Amino acid sequence: MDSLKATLSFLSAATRVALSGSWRYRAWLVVCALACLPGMWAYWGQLQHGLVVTGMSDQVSWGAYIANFTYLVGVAAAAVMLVIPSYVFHNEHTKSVVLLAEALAVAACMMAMLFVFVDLGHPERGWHLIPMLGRLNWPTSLMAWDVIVLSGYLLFNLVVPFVLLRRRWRGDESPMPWLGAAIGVGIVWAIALHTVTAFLFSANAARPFWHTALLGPRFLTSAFASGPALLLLAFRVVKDVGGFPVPRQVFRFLAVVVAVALQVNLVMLGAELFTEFYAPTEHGASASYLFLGHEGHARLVPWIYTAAGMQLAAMVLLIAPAWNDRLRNILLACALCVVGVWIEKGLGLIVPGFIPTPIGEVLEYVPTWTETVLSFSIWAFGVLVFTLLAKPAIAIQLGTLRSPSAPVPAPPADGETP
Amino acid sequence: MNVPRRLRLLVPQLSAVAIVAGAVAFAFKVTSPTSQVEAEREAASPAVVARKPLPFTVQARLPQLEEHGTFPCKECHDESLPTDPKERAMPEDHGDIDLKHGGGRFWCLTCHDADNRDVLRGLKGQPIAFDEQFLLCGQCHFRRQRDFLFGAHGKRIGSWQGERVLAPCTSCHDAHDPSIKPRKPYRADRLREGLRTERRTHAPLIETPSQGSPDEQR
Amino acid sequence: MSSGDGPRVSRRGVLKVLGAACGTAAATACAPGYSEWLQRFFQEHYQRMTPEEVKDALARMEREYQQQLGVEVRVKDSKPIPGVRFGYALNISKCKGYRECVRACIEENNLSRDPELAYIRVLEMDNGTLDLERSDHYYEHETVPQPGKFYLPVSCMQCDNAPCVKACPVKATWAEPDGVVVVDYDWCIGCRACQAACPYGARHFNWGTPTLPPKGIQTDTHVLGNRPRPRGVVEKCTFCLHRTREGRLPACHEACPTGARVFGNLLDPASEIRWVLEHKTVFRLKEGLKTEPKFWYYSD
Repeated sequence: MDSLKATLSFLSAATRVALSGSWRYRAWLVVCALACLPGMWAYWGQLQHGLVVTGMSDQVSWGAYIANFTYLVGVAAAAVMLVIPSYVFHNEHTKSVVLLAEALAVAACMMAMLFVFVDLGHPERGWHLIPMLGRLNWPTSLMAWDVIVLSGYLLFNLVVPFVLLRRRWRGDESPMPWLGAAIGVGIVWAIALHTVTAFLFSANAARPFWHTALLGPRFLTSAFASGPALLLLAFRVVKDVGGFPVPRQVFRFLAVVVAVALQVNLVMLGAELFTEFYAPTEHGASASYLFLGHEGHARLVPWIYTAAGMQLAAMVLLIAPAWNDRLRNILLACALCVVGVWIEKGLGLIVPGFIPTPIGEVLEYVPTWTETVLSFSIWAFGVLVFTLLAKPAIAIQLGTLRSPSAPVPAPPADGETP
Repeated sequence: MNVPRRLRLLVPQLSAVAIVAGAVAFAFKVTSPTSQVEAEREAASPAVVARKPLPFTVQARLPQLEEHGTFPCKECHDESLPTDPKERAMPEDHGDIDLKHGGGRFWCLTCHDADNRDVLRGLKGQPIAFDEQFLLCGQCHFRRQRDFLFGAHGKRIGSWQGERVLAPCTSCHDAHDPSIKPRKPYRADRLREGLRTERRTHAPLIETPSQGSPDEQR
Repeated sequence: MSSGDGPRVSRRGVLKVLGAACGTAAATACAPGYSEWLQRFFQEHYQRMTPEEVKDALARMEREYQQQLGVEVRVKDSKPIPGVRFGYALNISKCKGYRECVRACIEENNLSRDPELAYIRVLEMDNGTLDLERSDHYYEHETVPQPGKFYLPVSCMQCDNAPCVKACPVKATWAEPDGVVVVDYDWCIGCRACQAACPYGARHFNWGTPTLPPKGIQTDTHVLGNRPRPRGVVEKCTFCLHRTREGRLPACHEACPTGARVFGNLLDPASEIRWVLEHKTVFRLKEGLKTEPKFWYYSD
């Protein structure tokens, strides 16, 4: 009962911190919340008329929603890139920001779930996915796997930081023997999350473009490029706006991760392109649609070259010794990487898998306004969630938010190397 | 927190191994063939193949001919109209008939009985009823007849089980001009509303003289 | 027809309690039609319903169709015939591309006219190749067959090893004992994983609200087959199980003007379909994917 009371007072304190701040901060919250409204309106329209208001069709049956879902699952999984150095190798620099990474993972998970939810034809039947009550087709259906790993990962990223923050809030410094095991599970879970999402696509033998063993590894590398890049950008904002001392080493570390992942991703892309184009079997039709256009249908061609160019530029900026020691270049590289991977993994992976259809029809996909507005609003919602989670987390990390009953704060041990 | 460092180093590797092992086991589980397929394969062994034609009845043709007003033939071809056995062009009374069957090798009495117009006449002079026309056609088209008897040609009517009722040859083929004629197809699928109509066009593999391709516009 | 057994009682209990609680709430709210809506919301998976529950559900569907469509629609629940597994063969040298099967299928199966769905796609193929990417799905000619072309109708192959069944996250689609892959339209959540998995483009989604011509509604319907569908669910060819489970032939077979189609029981060694499979050179589409289709093509 006592701990429940403590938890409640912790939650209310955190909520108070999350919702209060400078007028700029509050304006930011209002802007984010307002940005969610057009999406609600768009979704209301979609509920009224059905998915017919999207650009999807029987030919291209997944579109912008699933593309964003795939990308965001990668972002969520990428938090593990800070969890491993923090908890396995006890790097003090990354440890000071790992909770922010997990806040980003929570926001990404929620966005991913929302994107799947708005893609459903019958969202009110979501309870059919609950084991026992519904009829979850586990372990056969990869979609069922994805439901499990996604909700499990969300739970993990909510519970572990919650416990850690609550302890810090109360000034509890006692050892946590269970943490190692929990982190181990979390690391496996993060990698499983993205691998399962890749398998959701590569399991479809009907779609040769996805049906490749390289898809899982490619998902991981592109996630480990775009996720840390997004984290780096977020840290920059947190440092400048939130006044949180993100150690310089964290930026360096993340930049190295992005640079390495980008290179591996580009090597894998090259390997796939070689196989598809050296011996152009019917399995290469989607790739040739994507990169060359298929008999006059070439809507995605400029996009994929933009994506490839952005990733290449980001990689060069990050590995060229003349450029890569300036923070501005690193930030630019990260922005390029985030957008480049978003195009490649969204438009460039999901949509061409459906073109041509298994029976040889070519119908191009263009997202409608409904999809665009709704996707934008879900992203705004994610930003809002991240802000609301990061604000109290920062306050607790900095020691400005503490339980009244907490012992006198010890001198802060981490994150003092700005 | 107090796990030995070496063990901690192993965590990422172990997780990767666990995922791969899990994936392999899962792939085996979901791809194992169902027992029903196996059972079906066994049941399909050629040892139990039926060699004899299945019993069948051909849907009666005469009622249709009667309705059409061309049967009984004897109403005109009676004693007052003696048979002229000389081969000649189609008489005016049967002007609607354009005999293309056989490419000029046949004329009326090749198939119609000279003495009894209400029946057909086989190669050996045997009478064949209009309702059993497949016996006549099968004299030349014996491969088709075999397919017809076993079900690979022609059309079963009504039910896939129980009594086998087949459509007669002439319900689809005009006996005097048997090839199926080109005609207008039912319209193409409309694409889902809200999408613009996009059509596939491509060069044909084998160039054939086309009679103007009307499929450019829709 | 395997169904949940262990947790059955508790799950059913939970549903009952939920339903009762909501029902009470509805009664207090005095909203007419609300309890029907709740019944529909909490309707069980078809395979887990007791015979009485199925009966109630069918009666409710019939009432709803009467209200929505103004037509008396009969919803049947005919079971698979023991010892029967359906198979279909199609003679591509006989198919002339008239699309009569498409028309008959749309009418018989209550397929939405706007937006329009069709279970059968007739592909116009170039002579000399079986490359589906060169096919024309939307040919419109004054007459067919066109010179230099042949025609390949494609619909659901009722695969024995169906990828769509594996993909469904809620078991809303499954293979019946007679080999027909069916969808529980009241259980499907509309995620379209099955559409991505199908190698034949045989599964169709109701993107908008299906519309039917009031006078052209087929009123003899099956709960897993041709009954009018709701929006937002996936549907597919069922080999006309509302007809074939009563011994009749599928609508596309009946409509085919050239007798190109052969339908029957694969387990009956004396059936026509078995004779075709054993004496004709047959092929199946995309056999390399090992989905074991039960739809064969042959030629004279």
